[in-house]
Amino acid sequence: MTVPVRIEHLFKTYTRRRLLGKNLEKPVLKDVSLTLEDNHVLGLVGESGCGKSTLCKVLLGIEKPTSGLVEVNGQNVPTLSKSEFKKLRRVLQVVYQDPYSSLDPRMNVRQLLSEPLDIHRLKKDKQERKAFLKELLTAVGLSESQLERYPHEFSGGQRQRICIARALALNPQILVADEPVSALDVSVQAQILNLLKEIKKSRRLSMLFVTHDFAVARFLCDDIAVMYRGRIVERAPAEELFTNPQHPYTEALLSAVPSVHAPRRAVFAGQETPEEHPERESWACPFAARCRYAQPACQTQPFALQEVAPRHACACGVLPFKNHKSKSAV
Amino acid sequence: MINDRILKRIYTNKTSLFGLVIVVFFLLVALFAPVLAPVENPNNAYQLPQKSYQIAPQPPSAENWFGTTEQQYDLYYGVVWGTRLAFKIGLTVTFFAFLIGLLVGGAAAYFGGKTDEILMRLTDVVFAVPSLVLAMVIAAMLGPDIKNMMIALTAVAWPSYARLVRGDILSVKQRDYVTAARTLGARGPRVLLRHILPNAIYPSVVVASLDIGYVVLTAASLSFLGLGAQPGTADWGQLIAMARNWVLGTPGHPFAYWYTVVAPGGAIFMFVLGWNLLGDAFRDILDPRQA
Repeated sequence: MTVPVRIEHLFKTYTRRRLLGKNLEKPVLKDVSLTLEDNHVLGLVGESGCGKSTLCKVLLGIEKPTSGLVEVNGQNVPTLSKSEFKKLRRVLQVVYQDPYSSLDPRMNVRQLLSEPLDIHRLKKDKQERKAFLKELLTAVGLSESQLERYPHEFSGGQRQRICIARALALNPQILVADEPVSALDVSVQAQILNLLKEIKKSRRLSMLFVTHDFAVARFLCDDIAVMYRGRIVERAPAEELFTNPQHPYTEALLSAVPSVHAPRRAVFAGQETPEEHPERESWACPFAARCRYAQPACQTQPFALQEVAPRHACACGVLPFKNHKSKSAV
Repeated sequence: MINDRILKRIYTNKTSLFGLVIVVFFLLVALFAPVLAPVENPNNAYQLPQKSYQIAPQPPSAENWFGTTEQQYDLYYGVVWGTRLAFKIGLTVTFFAFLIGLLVGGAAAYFGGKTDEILMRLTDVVFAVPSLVLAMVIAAMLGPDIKNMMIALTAVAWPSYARLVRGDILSVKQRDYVTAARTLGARGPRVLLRHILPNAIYPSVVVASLDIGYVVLTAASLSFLGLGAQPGTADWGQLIAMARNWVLGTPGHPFAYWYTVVAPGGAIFMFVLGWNLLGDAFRDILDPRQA
């Protein structure tokens, strides 16, 4: 059976050409493999700059991968022809992070929502179009009376609803949500999250949900993949990840979530180094420099994701082993 | 684009209303020039009627409302028909400069790479020479004539539009809503025409409206220097040129011939002021965030 999204051994390196000297190469995604299952929400969690958004861009075909496989419904995205690519748009849609900049300020809601239909020549009949737009607005919690208004007349949450409606206009099967609530204030976040959850259920959507907020991920996601410096360091069903994190980075992130009940613990061993040694970076554990469990072996051992439990993969050779030992000792 | 919202904005802002009133007034003068100042030379309406060959200007009178300038050319006729000529020069030059700038800047931004480099270095070359000096050189090369003067003015006015359009297209190209349109499946032409141009063009429209006044001012300078309209033409710059010998008045009476400068100078001043105020109003109106 083909899954909605399958990414295998994806590499993406940005190259800045320089007139003199060597071209600057910045590897952003390193050997990323992911699977988004049907009617699941896969959360992609990681700190800023770890490559989450680049992954989305590659999946959406905005950026070309350096190497690797990006399959949507069994079709490899980077090799699609223009017309196949356009068809793919109706399957795969996206909600962006910033609802302030992702809506054309010179278009009113009617134009914004009609655009995807015009592009794909859908619902051309006037009555049908009208009914469809109404239905779409109702689905995202807006009303027909707001059709003639412009984006600047709406609040952030309402704008994000418009963005969601726009993405849903093509009736996609897969939705990529690139930090859709991080630009909104907390009270509005909950409304948008509820909306996404509801839509996922009513439309049987599969969703790739990018976030840096664990609370948000826990609320919405079935599976979670944790990224660090362009790699997936751990991947597990959501509840499993929260109750039994196996990678030191996941553990550190989870305990870094501020809580009013528990005092904060020191979770990172060292400071983040801005640029790691390029040679070592390419294959050893990227987190070793900040890891409190770091062993000398971490500097030499190759980095690899390994199954530690069913559906649970982790890229650390030290911590699962240690946990396992301490458990067996008790 | 013209709707209640825009009209309301013009009415509520006093300075923009003032600008609009001035421009509309000049527009009416230009339209009704044959009524306001009947043509005396049917072959060339822009030819100033000459009352006599007496040298010294004559003050305003019942017959010549604004007085006469050197060699008895009628100032009233000159100001009225000069208005029509000012619109002709301002609108034509700005239109063509805008068009050339849009094509050059648009091509540079859209194709990028080498095309961008070549086109932009070309505009830099034009920019490097002071525009009035360059316009003078071109006008002098082509010969003193109103048409040649307009060519010269267009040749120096387009680079600012090219640069503006290119910069705005490049910045709009990067915006999220352009990427968003692409991810909806929109292709190049649609993205360019529906999203990039409408959002990138308005700063240039504002500059164009401010430029109409400035072009007329520069045209007047060229005419003043003898590189545009010829003596006897109903051109504001030319009228001031003809006042050159009388500006200082007579010994002991510095303002003896004030009317030779006040009528055409005032017209230029008001015309430029009107377009500037209107340009400011356009800037406010074309920003969709200000409803």
